[in-house]
Amino acid sequence: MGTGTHMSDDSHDARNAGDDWVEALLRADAKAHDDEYLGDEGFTARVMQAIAVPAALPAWRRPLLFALWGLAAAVIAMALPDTLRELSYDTLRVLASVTFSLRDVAVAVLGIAAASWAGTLYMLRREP
Amino acid sequence: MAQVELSDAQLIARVVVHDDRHAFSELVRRHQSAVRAMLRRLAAGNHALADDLAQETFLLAYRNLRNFRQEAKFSTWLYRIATNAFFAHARKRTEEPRRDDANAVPDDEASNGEAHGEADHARAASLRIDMERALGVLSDAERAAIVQCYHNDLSHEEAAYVLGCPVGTVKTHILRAKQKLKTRLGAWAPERT
Repeated sequence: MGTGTHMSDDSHDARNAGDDWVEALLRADAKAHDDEYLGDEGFTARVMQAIAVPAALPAWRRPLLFALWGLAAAVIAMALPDTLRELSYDTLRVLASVTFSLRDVAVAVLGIAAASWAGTLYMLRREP
Repeated sequence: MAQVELSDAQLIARVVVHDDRHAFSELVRRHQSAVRAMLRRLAAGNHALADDLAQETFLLAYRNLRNFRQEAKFSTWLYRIATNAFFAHARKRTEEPRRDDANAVPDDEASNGEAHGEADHARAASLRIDMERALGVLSDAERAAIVQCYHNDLSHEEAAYVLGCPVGTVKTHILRAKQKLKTRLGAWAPERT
């Protein structure tokens, strides 16, 4: 690393003429630090040890996520029984009054499947 | 047989594709000195805090390596994570007193205050102590701007990326920091003739 060589143009803009000695001190201090190398002293080993722990997370995290979603759905269903029943009856009535072709059913199934897979992939994308 | 040293990009690819822990440990080994040194300056000489934040930095880097798009150098990306970790810590410690008094002694002082026989070394050591104290009186943002632009040798644009703020803000922080340093380091000002 150098000592502020990249900033020579910009720093002139932001600097007062009277600050030249401060600039020089900062450069001198940075230069003194440049010559140092901090020995590892077990730092890398500690980092790698810490990394090993979270790696076990996905094993229980995934089923836990599904269980929580299921639980949330069950709680909502129990909290709103009448609403859900009426919604189901209305949906059935609408479906019974409309005639579907096999093609319509296939399109609907494919659409639901695509949405489910997209949602699942989105949920799992960050897991190693 | 001499081993070919892999570039950062090659090591990163190994970590992302194969979850190669050895590759990541090599990245840590390469960059630990720069990251820890930067955090020591941001933490005004608090080495224990700096090393804790450095460890947190590399953990975050490992977990987010897939999101590293290489629009900046890997070291610059690490500086950004480290600086964010430092700012997050700084926000938490609001109730703690700032180390802005002249009695705050950086950890380096004890080890560097002795055994420098030559005048240049003594002067450098003395400057280092005074500078570390002076940096301690700056706000976290001002100190971070100074550290990025001078110690890490970043341009204002790169510093803005690391600090997550506009370039103009970086320049303002540096200007204000220099004014404070000018007051604080008055003893180092050249004598007027």
